[in-house]
Amino acid sequence: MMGPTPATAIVGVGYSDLSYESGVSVLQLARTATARAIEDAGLAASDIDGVGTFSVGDSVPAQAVATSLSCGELGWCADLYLGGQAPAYLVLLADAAIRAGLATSVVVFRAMNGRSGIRIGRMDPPDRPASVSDRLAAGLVAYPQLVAMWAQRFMVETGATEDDLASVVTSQRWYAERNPRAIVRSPITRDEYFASPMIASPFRVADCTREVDGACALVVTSLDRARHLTRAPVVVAGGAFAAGPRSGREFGDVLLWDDYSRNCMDFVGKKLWSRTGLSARDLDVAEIYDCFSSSVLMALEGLGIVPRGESGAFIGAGETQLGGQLPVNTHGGLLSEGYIHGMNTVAEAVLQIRGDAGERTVEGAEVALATSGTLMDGSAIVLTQDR
Amino acid sequence: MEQLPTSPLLMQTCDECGRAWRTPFEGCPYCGGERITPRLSRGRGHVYSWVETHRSFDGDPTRALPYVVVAVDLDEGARIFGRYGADRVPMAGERVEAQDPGPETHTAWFEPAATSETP
Repeated sequence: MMGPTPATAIVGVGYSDLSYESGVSVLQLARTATARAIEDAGLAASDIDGVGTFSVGDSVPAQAVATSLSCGELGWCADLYLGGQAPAYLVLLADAAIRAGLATSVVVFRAMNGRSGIRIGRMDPPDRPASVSDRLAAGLVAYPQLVAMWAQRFMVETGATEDDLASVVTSQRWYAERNPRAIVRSPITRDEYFASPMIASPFRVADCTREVDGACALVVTSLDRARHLTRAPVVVAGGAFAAGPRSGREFGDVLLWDDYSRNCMDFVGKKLWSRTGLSARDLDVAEIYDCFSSSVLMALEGLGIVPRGESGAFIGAGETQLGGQLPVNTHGGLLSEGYIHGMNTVAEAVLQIRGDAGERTVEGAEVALATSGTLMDGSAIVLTQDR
Repeated sequence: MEQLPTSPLLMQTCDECGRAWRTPFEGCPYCGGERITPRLSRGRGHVYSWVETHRSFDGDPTRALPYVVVAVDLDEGARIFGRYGADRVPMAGERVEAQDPGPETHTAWFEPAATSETP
């Protein structure tokens, strides 16, 4: 008989600089972040035998990074054509690859010149089925507009208000002030939020992530190996990916999705809690994918962390701040740290479990959630201390 | 029938389950049926959601700001995007009807439906 399936752990975190204009190639950004993650883990490039990444045609292949790092022979190599739904899922795939024996130590990354190069927000997919040509013809030419329709319907269904969006923005900015990596660190009051220019109702500029150039990488290895490395292991306790029914022709094809007030997190949550045996009450910190402010409200409710219709009040009451019931987006979120497509959302969860997030550390955090995605498909991962 | 291929009101309908949707697929997204017939909607439905855009994301000078895009659930069952012509934002569930788009228009234009109309 085989023994219990061995667990994996995240043992390294690396970032490139985050900026509005990197002045270097995407491969250079990827190489910098992955090399720093490998060094952080106390490993050498020659120890890495798996590389994975995701992109929407705006980045470099995993094999290019492996070659650039001089990794040697690979047993696992993955290039996902996915967006914000991918980061937690990518870590889960690395975990699965290691447990299946395909690789022993894996680096996963997202790298993009997302500001000075190809901007995700201004979508122009190569495939133009009617779902794409319709929205372009109607004047839906950027993601803020598309997701705004979901936010609008969410507000209709749940009674959420612009004041609730303001709560997300102001509470996350407090953390960003304490995050040296964040691209937006200036304080913002509620009045200043409402003075932020409306761009696609109900979204103001302040409700939208800040697109940046940069890269972020994580190293995953077996828990057995992790226990002999530099850093305290951050255990991959479980996770889930889910694509709801009729998720469409591509990841901006929302016309077949019935209920814009509920996104992938409703589906991810059900799997996540049953699979991990945990509940929302067990979480010490949550890093929630937030390309837009409304994504945080929808995820908190969709995952069952807060009852439907109550997420805005929860945040407004300070429950997501340090000392509250559940600190959320302690890096300032993608709204403030910058849009490394949510790879940095997972990385922040790792730093929190390590107790390595500076002033914004949630003291004694043992269980962290990180989510990815805000439309029809998404993923989530639970990370814990090695107990 | 010549305008069928480009009309923004063209729907796909499944001969097996009867559902309707906008984007052509190889197979019915609801039942997997393979007998699919394109049909023109009558252009009436209700507003499911909307967004009012205040900033140009692509610099297209033909769209005056602000403008409203609606997601409309057509009475035949399909959800489509279109522009909203009234000089205000719509209400959720508001009844709307598409105007004659003309041969050069690639998006549906909706106006509030006459109040006497019954669904």
